Amino acid sequence: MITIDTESSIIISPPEELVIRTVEGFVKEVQAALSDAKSIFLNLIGVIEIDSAGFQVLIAIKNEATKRGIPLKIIGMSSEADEIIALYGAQSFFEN
Amino acid sequence: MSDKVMNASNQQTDEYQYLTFYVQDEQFGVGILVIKEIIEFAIITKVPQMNRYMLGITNVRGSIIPVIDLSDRLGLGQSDVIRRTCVVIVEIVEEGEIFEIGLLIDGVNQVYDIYPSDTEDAPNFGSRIRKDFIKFMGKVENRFVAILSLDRLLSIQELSRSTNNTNEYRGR
Amino acid sequence: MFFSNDALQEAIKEFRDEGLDLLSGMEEGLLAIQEFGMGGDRINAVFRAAHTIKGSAGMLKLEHLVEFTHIAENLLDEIRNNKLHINEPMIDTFLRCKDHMQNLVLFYADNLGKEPDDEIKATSRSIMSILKSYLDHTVVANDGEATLVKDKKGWKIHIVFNNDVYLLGMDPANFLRYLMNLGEITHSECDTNRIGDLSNLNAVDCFITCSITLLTEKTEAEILEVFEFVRDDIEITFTSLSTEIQNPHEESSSAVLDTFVEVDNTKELGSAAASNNSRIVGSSSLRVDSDKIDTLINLIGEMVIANANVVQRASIIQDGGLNESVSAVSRMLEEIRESAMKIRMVQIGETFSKFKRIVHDVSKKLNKDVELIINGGETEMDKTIVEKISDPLVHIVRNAMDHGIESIEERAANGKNPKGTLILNAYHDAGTIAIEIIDDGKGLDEERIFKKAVERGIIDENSKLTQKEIFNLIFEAGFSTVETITDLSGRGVGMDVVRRNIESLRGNIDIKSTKGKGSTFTMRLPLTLAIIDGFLVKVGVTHFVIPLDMVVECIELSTRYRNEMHGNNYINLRNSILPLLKVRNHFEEAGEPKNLRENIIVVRYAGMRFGLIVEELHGEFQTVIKPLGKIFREIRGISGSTILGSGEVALILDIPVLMNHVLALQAHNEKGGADDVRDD
Repeated sequence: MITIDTESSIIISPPEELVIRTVEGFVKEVQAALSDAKSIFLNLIGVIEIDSAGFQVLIAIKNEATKRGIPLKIIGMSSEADEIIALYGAQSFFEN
Repeated sequence: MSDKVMNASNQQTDEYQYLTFYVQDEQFGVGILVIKEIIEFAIITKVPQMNRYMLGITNVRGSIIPVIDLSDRLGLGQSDVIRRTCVVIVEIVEEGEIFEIGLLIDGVNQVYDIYPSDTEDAPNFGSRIRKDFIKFMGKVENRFVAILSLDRLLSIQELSRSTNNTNEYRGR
Repeated sequence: MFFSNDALQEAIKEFRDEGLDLLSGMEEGLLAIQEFGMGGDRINAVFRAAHTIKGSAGMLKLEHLVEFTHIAENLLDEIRNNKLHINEPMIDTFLRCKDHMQNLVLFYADNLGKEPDDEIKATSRSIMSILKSYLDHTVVANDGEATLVKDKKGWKIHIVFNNDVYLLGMDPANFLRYLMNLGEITHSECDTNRIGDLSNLNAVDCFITCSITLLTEKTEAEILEVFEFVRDDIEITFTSLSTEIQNPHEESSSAVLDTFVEVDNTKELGSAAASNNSRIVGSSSLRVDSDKIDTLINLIGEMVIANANVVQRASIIQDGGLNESVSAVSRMLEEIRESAMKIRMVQIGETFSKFKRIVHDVSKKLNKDVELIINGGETEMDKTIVEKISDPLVHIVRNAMDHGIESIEERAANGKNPKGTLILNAYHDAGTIAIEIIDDGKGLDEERIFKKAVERGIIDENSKLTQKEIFNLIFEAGFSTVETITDLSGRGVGMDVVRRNIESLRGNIDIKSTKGKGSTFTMRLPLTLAIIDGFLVKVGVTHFVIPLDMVVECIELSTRYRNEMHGNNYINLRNSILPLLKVRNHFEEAGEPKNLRENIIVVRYAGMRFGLIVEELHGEFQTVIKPLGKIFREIRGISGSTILGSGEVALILDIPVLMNHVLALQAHNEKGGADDVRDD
């Protein structure tokens, strides 16, 4: 689910299962919503299943934000999302 | 922006505007800023154990509003419901909360501008009602109208006083 | 910082809610360790709480909280790895630590963008120094550990997964998790450039490339076995780091310590997903602002009222099709209402488990040994009610421990088990929730209470009171004064406040007690605050609603009963006495009844029955409760109001209060009569 918070920022809340089966649809949804976002909040609190395909989408969103020069912040973290981000040593990647 | 300016200027004149109305053939007034709305007389459900002037509660579009008989509260005797009887709903802040209370009156007169220069203190004697119920006397069309002090008139402390012997009910 | 103020506020709010949840989990874990030992996942749960809070705090740049939690996390980590044995004083320190973290979390939530003042920091420092003193012991233990490490080798493993790995049904993450079984991953890194940005991402292709530092006793060949069946789909490079790792003594010992800490973080996270299902359940729930739910429920309430109006108008028109549609809508509305109310329902268990800590602390302070037994924690009730009874519950529990349960010596001297028992029990009963606080202490002392009430001028010394009435004296304002104010109970709040709080929720509280054996405090509370099913009756011109759950039956007040009536006081109903209350007289309804037909509504509450004499019966009515407001706060016997389909307002009868009134009259009219009306 993606909510437009104000005119300029969007909150991206991935589906509960952010896995190979669901990533394509999710990516399309995010691509459509990103158009003129000025900042992105990534809410991972509801992610209860995530695999490497899901993980790489998160990285791609962050890369996209960097490319566009807009800030991205993780505002919610589930233990499952936290686990895979830590597994790939990518915690600090999201912190700047 | 211009809206804000207009509002501000409205507020300034509002501050000196008073609605006058009749209670037992006498005229009284309250500041229009506290008035929320005026409704027709509706069915009022009596609430037991309360003072006589507390007529009960009524339903105003889904909200429960207590209604007092203003005449009775002022000490002028119980009102009879007549054709022009209506309820003025006022909004007051007491004990840090907003309360809405309806005042049963015998009919609305009109709104007057009364500036501080046209006011006098409540008379020390000669008035039929409690002095602390009167905020001041306002001059309209060469007569004086008592502008009511709602703080006193509608003090929760006084209105809530019930007539029952509370202890009788205390888990004995 | 790109956080806008609003976003930060929102994020901190989220952090606060999440943090408080985690901290209560942490406390629960610590108390469980104390009670049942280290087993299972308990220490991991405690560690995870600290770890997650530190992580989120770091994200929000709450520096002092990060600094403080870091130490606690390190110590927990040492314990988790059996480098240090946890003991009683350590648990107490961790509990203090948890309290302080909670204070810090609340501080940050209330003081946006500020760091704590020196006073708070001083508290932090004193706790941190205790934690550090424990940690110092582990460094010694660690030296021994470090020699062991010498035999392990460090490997840097670089793996490039090919694009089609996902399509082959494999997840690279699983390989990394498996590597953890072979040793310790001290570092991992992912090539984010290969993944690229979202606009160009083909999400079903794999772009994972990672580098891992693995500390293990295994050989290169053994590690390679892990990747045996994906060998064609990955490129893997090994670099030996053995020289760097094999001489740990050349580095400072703290650096070594840091390495271990980091290792275990990763490892712990790996097992988290597999071992902790309860977290998953928590994550799938949705955190919604309770205001939003209140708005929804209010709207549904309005709709129920509007619908009552529709039903009434439809019944006048008497069109078959219309009536059918109207009743279909009514049915659905009823379902909507029920589901909406369920959103607000929470289990009482969470509130109950708070008491583990309170009992722990208080028994320590009073030097009493008390076992807390929790029963019926899964009982659901309205969140608002749960929140509002929390303080009264704390008060009663503290009271029970303070005044009820005796000291170890006293219990032993009286031939009781030196360990006292305190039971919290919750259950549903006839549309209400009952919560019992049961202790096996010394019970209430009737004589002392009576004497004290006379001293305090609450009653006259010649008063003749039943046991129940005497017990109820402790709820009178002004009963608990100086004498009973200890550090624990009665901190400015007396039992009168407890009762007032409970009654403001349309509930009541009752005491049973046997000298020397113990006391039971029973709170009864409504299931919900907003909407109830009611039974509508009319007396004179006024409509009254009786909560339907409490209605047992309606009986016509026939001539036979009328002849048997004893001055409106009671009748014999199927050989038991049914006390009566004539609503018309009680509420001084004006005028005379329209006709002489009257009915008795038999109501039941807290195991007792009485009859209300009313005039017209109007049947069941879904009642949206509207509070009467402060002006009517002194009224007894009416708990609220509701709007009827006609737009008129009806009053809701407060059965518990009326019941007390009736029983009091009954008891005074005929001695001991109150006991005869118990029906169970």
